[in-house]
Amino acid sequence: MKTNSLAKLRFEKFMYNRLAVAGFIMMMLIILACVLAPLFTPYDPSYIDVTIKELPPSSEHLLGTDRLGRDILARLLYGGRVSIWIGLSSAVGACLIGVVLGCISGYFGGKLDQVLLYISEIFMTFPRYLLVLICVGLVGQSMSNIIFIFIATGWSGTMRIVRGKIMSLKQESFVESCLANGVSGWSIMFRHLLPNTLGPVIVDMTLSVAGCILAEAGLSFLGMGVAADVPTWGNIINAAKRLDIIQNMPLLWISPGLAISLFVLSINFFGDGLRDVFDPAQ
Amino acid sequence: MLKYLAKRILQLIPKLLVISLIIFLGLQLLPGDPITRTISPEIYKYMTEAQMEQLREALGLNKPLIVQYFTWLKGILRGDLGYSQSSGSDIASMLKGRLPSTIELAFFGLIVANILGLLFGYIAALNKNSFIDYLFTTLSVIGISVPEFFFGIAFIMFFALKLKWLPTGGRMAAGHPEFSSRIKYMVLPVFCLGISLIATLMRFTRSSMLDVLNKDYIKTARSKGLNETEINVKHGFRNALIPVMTLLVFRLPILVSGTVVIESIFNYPGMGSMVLDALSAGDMPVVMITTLVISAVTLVASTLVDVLTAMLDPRIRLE
Amino acid sequence: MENTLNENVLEVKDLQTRFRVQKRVVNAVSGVTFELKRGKVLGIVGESGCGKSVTAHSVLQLLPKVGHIENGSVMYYPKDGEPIDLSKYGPKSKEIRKIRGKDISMIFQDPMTTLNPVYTIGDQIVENLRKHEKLTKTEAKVRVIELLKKLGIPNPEIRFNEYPHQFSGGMKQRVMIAIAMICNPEILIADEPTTALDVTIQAQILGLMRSLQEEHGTSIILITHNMGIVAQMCDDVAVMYMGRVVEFGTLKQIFTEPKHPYTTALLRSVPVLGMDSDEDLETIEGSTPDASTVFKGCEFAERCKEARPECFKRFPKDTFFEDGHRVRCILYEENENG
Repeated sequence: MKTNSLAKLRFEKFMYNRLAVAGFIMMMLIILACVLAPLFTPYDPSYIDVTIKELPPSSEHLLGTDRLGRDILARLLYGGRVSIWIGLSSAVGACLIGVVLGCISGYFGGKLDQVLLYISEIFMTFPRYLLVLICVGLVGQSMSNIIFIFIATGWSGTMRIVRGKIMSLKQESFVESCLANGVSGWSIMFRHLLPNTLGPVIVDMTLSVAGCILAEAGLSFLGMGVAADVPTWGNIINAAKRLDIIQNMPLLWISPGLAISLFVLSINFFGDGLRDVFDPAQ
Repeated sequence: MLKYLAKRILQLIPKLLVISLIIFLGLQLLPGDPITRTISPEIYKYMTEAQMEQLREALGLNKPLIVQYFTWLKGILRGDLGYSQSSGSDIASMLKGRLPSTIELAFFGLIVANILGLLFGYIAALNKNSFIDYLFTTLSVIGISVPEFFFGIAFIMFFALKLKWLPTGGRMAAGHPEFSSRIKYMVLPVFCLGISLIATLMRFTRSSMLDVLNKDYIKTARSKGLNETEINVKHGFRNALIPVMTLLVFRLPILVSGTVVIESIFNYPGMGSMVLDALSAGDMPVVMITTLVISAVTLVASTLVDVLTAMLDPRIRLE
Repeated sequence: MENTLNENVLEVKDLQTRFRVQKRVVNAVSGVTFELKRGKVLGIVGESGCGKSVTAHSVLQLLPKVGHIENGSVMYYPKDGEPIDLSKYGPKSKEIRKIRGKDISMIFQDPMTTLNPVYTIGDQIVENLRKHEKLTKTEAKVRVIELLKKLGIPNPEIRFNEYPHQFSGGMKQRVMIAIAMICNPEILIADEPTTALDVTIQAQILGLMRSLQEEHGTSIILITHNMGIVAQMCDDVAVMYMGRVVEFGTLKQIFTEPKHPYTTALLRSVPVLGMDSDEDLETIEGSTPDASTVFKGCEFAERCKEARPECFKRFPKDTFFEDGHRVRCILYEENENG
């Protein structure tokens, strides 16, 4: 009963934050548009037809076509699927690893904690992009590799949040009373401590979706992300590295740039709203 | 303070060792004969199999991995960074021209971001819930959300191509290496690099400042009859700065990461674009060694920020 | 006005302080009147949330941003100079800043948080001194060290250059007293100065305040919820309840012939030396109402043992007795009338 009313209170607080609600709606709209891409565009994003290359916007091609005659709107929508999928799955994966390691580190402490903390510290002092680039160089460019790399390099932040939270919760008397009543360590950790860390973790995960989308876009922009024939928001912009294209085909880079910015912006507003709900102190 | 400094430097060494070990192990994972990365291809070309075996023995490449690591590390510390596999040139001399460019870019990015981020955060906090606060806060979310390359392209389009105020890229005009003529080449890259840091610092300074202004010692300062500026700057901002500096330590690697993208957009000849060129050529030793150098520099810079934080906070300094 | 003859150094009249929290308006202090006599200690007592601390902060206008003085006056009569109504100046005004720390200074409850962690305690005391008196750094340092010595801080020359985190709670509160006393103020407002400290240290701090007060003739407003401290320290007492002074009188009047039922209840709830061991301490029934409650009658009526129907219907008026004793209770109004 109590959790219900707390959830209700939080929901009301969230709804009160207009920017957060707007962010959520915008985010859902963009996701829907990408998922239901075939409804909005009849074109295949990878279909090459050089006879219609570099067309300006028209009623047939709302955003025009690119250098290979592909419809930009179609590439934008289908590209969004890939970009959002990479962002979501990497953030969720990295978060899961971070939560598990953070729980272990925070609850058991000792040597194991020291080692895990040190590893996460090394990760955080390393410029992450370079680490990602090395990994890309080692394992090659593909969507699953990118997701794998993002997960492998992205868990340290969550781990630290969970670890800190668990360590402070461990001091609370309810843990002592659980122990006194013979509840096992694992049970305390997963049934009593973990649920208490959920708020900050969800906020962190939301914001790291934004981070991963930005990272993927940057990587693809550099030509080091997902293979160039797969449309992603970053890959579309990749073409705009030449000055003549920047000047003559602004839609080619403005539209995916705006798509990324708008999506990440809405996630950030949404995430900030969540943070206010879960962590009033901030 | 000296004790603290010594402690920080002592903590720095194992971290550098771990990073170098990671890079070393990464190098071992690469296919191909490690000897090709160790000696100049010019010499390698004319060597017989027997000579090579002899050299392997001499370089310790037949010894256990851990011995090899220390031999390699010794070489690195002497500036012997090995050879590029695509161009065959010495990595150390490739880096010589590039490292200062990147450090220059990152340094100015850091300075600009700090000045603007702290200033905007301070102003927003003092004018909480006013129009200017909402404006800065909203702009900062935009600054965090818009990818830096999008800003970069937009800036090139607008300031370089349309208005023709600034060059589209590069680091200097041919034959004009002096600093004053380089400034206009740096404006756009530095600003682009700094935007997300400005936004982050602004948000953080704002909340830190608001937090500090609620502290009891602000009331004490007020009860002494100090004026608002003295209270806000001497007692407020000075304290608000401490957590911001701690955040900066974690943001530094992200700023350095940004140089890769920024250098690529603005054709800026630094380490980032060197890494990218090497990566496209499949020249992993160059990528890894460059990464090692950049990480080491970043780590040293983070330690400097840590020391700066300690200078601001006696609780850390006198620990 | 011949203020030199005025025996009061501070007269607070009908002070109202209001807080605006989001859209709610809370009257934290609603019409408080009291006088502080020159060279005397006035205690303001009451339960937490009764507005005693807000009253103290209102004098120097050290209220949080959401709070402001709505009505009333705070007259300060300096030893030499014209009387000033402090409530007429803005909280950031030059006039009030000149008085803060110099003529009237303040000590707060929690010494752990009232000192700035990044400056040495020497700097923090010198800051107040040099703000109000033209002194060189060396002169200021000499004065500060002298005061630190008087306050019983060992090795003051060394401690001068140390930071707050190197001090214990009691030592920090001594430093706060040094900040407050360095300019020899006429009035010292101490807001629960010993609540956050260990009992043994409480006595030391109070003793120090007493001796400084006797030496410099400082007038003190002592805010506390502890009747024991009142008995030990004060010359006059104001008892507050729900943002109002319900009874005002000398220490003797309040302790030997309390008039207001709340004061009586308050006194019965503390143990007194020499009390029979089988005698029970009383508790005051119910709890302090929410600060935003709107009353039609006496605020204490709900919890009052002697409440009459009339008490719930109208606000009581102040009743003045010849000996200066003052009470805000309907019971005494009737006595007067009948």
